[in-house]
Amino acid sequence: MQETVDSEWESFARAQRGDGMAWGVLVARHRARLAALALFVTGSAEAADEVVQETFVRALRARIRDTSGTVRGFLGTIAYRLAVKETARVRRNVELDRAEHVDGSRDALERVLADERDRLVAGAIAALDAGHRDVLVLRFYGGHSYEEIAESLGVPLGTVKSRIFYAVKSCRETLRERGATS
Amino acid sequence: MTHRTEDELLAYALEVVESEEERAAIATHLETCPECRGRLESIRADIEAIAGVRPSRLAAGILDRRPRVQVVRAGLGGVRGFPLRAWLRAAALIVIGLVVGFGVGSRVEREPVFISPAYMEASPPAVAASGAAVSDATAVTPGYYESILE
Repeated sequence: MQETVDSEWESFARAQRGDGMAWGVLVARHRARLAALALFVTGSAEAADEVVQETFVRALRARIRDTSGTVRGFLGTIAYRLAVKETARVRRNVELDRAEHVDGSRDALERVLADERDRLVAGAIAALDAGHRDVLVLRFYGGHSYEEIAESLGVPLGTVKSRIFYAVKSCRETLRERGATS
Repeated sequence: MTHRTEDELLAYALEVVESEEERAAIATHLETCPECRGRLESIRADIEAIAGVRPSRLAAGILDRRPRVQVVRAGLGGVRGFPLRAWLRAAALIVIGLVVGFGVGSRVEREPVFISPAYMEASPPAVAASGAAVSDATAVTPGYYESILE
């Protein structure tokens, strides 16, 4: 396991030094997952696209000293924080403009997801409240452990475990109602 | 045989069973109960689907937009990829600057400089930039990710 983590960081370091092949591997391995994470948090395809691009830029510029964690978790943390920042910025602008806030997340999901089952699942995740959704997204798309989620969100470990349980349970119930469970 | 409930199996699949004893009891039951094993597999397939949304149409062009970045190696204080010629040019400019500066400076008469005490109070010496705290996702020091996101 540690060997896999080490080789991932070696590949990441090569991408940082400008190795095109390592860059390709890094993007291929993490792009879609990070895009899903950003899409669920921001609810906007355009914002998600921007977050993914920015995540890779910030990661390649970052100083890496401790490589005991995973590249997946590292990128997931950056993407999640950027997505939260972007969501807050958009909300501020909407409030400042006194414009009517329209939740475009459903439309965004429809536009960027080719697979029908993916759309149903994404709809179920988007229907969760933010607290449950963020835990699910960080766990499944951010590559975080429960302990890391607790630290990142500033909530007790027990709360994280309870939220992931009810988030998945709720998604399964939604999928079952729509005839999309296994 | 009493079967395990759906909630118990979901908690088991998500690794959020409250106690180690309970987790072990479910594992033991699963060894002898093909029905519960089948339900657990079904739950795992759902979890896989919930964790597997891939918006393939998003950020698809990123491969062609490789960012050009200068990577600073932590602890060494140097910039990777800074070409040798540039180092030599910088060194030559410093030497020329020192020689010219010394030559001109030795010929100019110096006047006494008065520094206002008020100015000194209003302008404390700059605090040296402290070494940026760096870490990764598992050993996060305060402000690390904020520094990346700045």
